[in-house]
Amino acid sequence: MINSMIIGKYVPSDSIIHRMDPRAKLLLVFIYVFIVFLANNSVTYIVLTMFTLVLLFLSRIPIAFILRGLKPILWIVLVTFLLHMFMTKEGDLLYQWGRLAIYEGGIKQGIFISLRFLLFIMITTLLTLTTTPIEVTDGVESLLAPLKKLHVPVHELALMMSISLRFIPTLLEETEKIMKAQAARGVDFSGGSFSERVKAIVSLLVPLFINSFKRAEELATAMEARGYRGGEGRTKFRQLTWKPLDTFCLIAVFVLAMILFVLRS
Amino acid sequence: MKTRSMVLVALFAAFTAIGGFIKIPVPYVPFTLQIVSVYLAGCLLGPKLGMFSQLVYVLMGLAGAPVFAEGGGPSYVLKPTFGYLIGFVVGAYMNGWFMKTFQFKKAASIFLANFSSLLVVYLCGCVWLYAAMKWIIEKPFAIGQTLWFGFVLPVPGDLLLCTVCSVIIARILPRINVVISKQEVAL
Repeated sequence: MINSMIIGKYVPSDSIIHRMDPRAKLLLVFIYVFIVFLANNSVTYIVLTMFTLVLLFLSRIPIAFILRGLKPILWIVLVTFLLHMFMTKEGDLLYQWGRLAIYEGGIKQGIFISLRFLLFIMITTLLTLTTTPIEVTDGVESLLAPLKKLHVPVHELALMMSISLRFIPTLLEETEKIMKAQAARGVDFSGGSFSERVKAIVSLLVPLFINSFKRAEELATAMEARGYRGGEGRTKFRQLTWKPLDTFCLIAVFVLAMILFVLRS
Repeated sequence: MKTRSMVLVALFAAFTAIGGFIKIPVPYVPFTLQIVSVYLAGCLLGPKLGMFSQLVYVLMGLAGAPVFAEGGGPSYVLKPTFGYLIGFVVGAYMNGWFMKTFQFKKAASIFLANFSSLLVVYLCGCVWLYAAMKWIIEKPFAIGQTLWFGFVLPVPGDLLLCTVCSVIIARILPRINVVISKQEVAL
């Protein structure tokens, strides 16, 4: 459980994509979101798909992991496709059965829009598969550092994210422990009327709250005792290094954007 | 920002994640305890810190930690239900603002603050749902459909939680306030 929070869906490997700086990966995904909307005809969609597939190939992640990442959002893609297929009435009539009519334009648009979805999800899944949430947090902190001038507590937000990521598994473990302890005292968590269920939940929440406030208190004291005083002049355990590879990848994305801009109709 | 308040914000962000994992099976629409921690964060931490706690939660999920109802990762932005998560951030602020400005003490008045943040959460949720259907999926819902799926169907459970929560918060507040104000939880 601890691992699933801090590591997320990370799949360890030593590919080019894994070695990229998290900042470069974040920028790449950010730019990609806009690029996806540039594509509007078959040629541009093919170019975009090729680019994405090359990235997937370079990451050397087994295809099963990527498919697993697509699963939760697949039904939206499917619904989108079906909606477009049946509701768009453009081009030649291909098939008609009662009131259901499928037009050529509908199929085309359905494929385009769902492909846009799939490509975007693939890229973001690739990010989470090759980067741990902690790395992403570090990357975001470093990218958003200029916002500190506007009094946005960037460093604090990043630190709070890391603390929270570490808290969740501990709290989950504690929840389980308390549930078992209360069940041993006769609390029924799975059955009973609604009011009984609410009572059961309260018997879980009270000790959970007390325990976690204690834990938070201890952590804050420990941090202060070790001299934590914010981001000013703090050195880092996890260092980010920008490599030539990262610059190259960003240039590649810009070239892709240009190609798409020329080819789009 | 004080160390103590930072740790508390992180704690409440973790609560929101835990709330998502505790599902209460109720007929028709299963609902989670997530919104409880939105009320708690707003009421107990105040507007700014409450908002930060929910923001940290959303950012964690977007960074790829599996804290949302169906996992995590940046692709969650595309989901029509992402608006509720934004609503958590705004709703916690609203809740804290009401509690701070009017110094509510009784359960009935706390219900008012909670209810306002509930409305904000659903407002954000419905707007996002409508926008996502229109521009991402490109098949717009009618306003009535958006309200039906985004508000009328899921709201009864949350309304109930809202009431229960007001009672709980009214009891917790005087005790927690002693602790929190002693430790000078502030920005």
